[in-house]
Amino acid sequence: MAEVRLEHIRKAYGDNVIVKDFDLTIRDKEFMVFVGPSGCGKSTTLRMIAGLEDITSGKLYIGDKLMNDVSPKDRDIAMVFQNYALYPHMTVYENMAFGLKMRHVPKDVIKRKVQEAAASLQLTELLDRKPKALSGGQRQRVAMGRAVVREPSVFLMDEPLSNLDAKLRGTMRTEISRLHQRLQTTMIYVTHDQTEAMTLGDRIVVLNDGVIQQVDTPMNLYRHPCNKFVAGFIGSPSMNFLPARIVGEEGEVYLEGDGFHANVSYDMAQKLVDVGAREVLLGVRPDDIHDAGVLLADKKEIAGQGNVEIVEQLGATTLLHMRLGTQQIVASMPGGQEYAVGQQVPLVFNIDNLHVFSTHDERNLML
Amino acid sequence: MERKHWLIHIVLILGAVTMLVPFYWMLVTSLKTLVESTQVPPTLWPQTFVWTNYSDVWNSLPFAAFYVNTFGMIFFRIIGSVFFSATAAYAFARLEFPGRDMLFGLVLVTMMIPGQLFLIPQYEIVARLGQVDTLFALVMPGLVSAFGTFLLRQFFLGIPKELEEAAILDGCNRWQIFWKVMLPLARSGLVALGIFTALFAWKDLMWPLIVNTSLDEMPLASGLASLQGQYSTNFPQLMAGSVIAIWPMVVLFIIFQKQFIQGVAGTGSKS
Repeated sequence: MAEVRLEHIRKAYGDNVIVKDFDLTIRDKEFMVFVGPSGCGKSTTLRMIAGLEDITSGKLYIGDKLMNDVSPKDRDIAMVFQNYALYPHMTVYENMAFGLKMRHVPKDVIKRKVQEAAASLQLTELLDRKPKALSGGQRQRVAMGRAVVREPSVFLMDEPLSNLDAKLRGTMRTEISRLHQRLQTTMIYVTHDQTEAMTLGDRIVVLNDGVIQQVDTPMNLYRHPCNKFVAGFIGSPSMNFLPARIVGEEGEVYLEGDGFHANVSYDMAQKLVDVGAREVLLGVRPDDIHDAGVLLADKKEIAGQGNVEIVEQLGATTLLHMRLGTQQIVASMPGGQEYAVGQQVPLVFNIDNLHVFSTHDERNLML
Repeated sequence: MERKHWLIHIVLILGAVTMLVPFYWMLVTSLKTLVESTQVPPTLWPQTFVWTNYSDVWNSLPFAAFYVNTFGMIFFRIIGSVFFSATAAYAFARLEFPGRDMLFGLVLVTMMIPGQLFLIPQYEIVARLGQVDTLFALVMPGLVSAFGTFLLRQFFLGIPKELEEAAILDGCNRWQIFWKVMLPLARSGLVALGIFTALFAWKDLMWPLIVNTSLDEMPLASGLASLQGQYSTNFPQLMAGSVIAIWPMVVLFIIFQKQFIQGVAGTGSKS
């Protein structure tokens, strides 16, 4: 059990700066997820915590101990790799026991720990097999088992589910959640998949270009993204961004753009008045766009007419790819409704959940 | 389709016959009389079987010493070339140190120089060490292998880096990573190198002939060559000696057939 503290961590290869001023405290027992697009520096940061990469500048603490110059094996961490990195020449048992053996743990203790971990991960039957005789999901579990037997104070996971198919990924996601609940150990999990981040993390760090964009709980990131990048990255399908103008004065403020006219909440109106600029970027999540035809009468303040171009039926919901004015938007409608390509749909925006971003620095103007 | 099939078979059979004829000739000649062996036109089957060719050649040369020298040379050359090639290859594949690529280039360059050029300097080294006419002299040039370094470096490069990182996190130091993770994974490469080394050592003639001149210190290849001098052209005895010399290699081939072919065909997969 340990807190992990990163103080102004920076990583550069020559002039190429990968991670810039990474400042973060990961609480004891917390499940922290690093999420961001490829090349954003999330894996590099994880590898610096593991000790597999040098830290160019800044300080890394695990517990109270400064770890910058401590060798990886003495950091009391265990890591699950993206490709599992199981030793192909060893059996499942030997793979799981190897780390303990190298630390001169007595044989009977190793045996007990491996068997316990194997039982909890349903690996008991597979202990004598070599990795190549296992399925992807089984290998994944062995990789986790290898980390579990070590009983480290911090678990590091580098995209551990990205090599699995979609269904297995869902199952393993819940297994990892369960594992965290059971072990009550600090976990740091790297992924580029926002769904994994949202479902697993106590808190999420959103990274872009080596810079922390926002650190918060999944729901706060979803509801109150600090800038356009976070708003676009978190949530699936992505938020729609529409260039808009602030029109009107106090009491009668609305947003107007190509093909739409959006009323705003009272709170938002107050804030919009204070915004110096008139040109902004309106952010609307697909689930905050409704079909006026199926809403109650008093909510009908039609924002615009969407022209349906593609209909994606997912069962519980139907995604409509539409043209609003000259812009492409996506709306998520209840699955029961029937839509046809070319159909004109009168649209209503949920005014309580609108986001407004600055056009020049892309920050959320409503925070 | 059918015709093409037969054509391939005929070509393959011709190839096999071409390879087998010298063996057949060696066996048949080893049982002929001296006169019959040089007779024109040659006979395809001995008129009388002269089994004493074998006992004569066995008694005229110290074959026991030849075997000991040959096996000793092969054994130590395998140990040396596998050990030094593996450690060097691992360093070239995975460690970062200044001048690494240039040094590896130099290793490769030595493969491009004809081996005969090394004979004089090698002899000088052995002579100055006072080791002429010893087992050490036979082993010395085969202790390190540029080819082996190159071969094993390719193997190590093919092993995912994450395995090494996992080993680091599991608490291994450099040597333990090499010994417990990398080496077992490069096993087929090590076996291929071992086989190649054995093969080259077995048929190495020129170096043993130069460096070890007393009969008791010779390996099979140069020992047999001395037959030509002693009995001018007693082909039946020479061939009988060849048969005696060749069977251990044939047995070795039968045992390691798969690895032999894999090694020659280009080391195979690493999974």
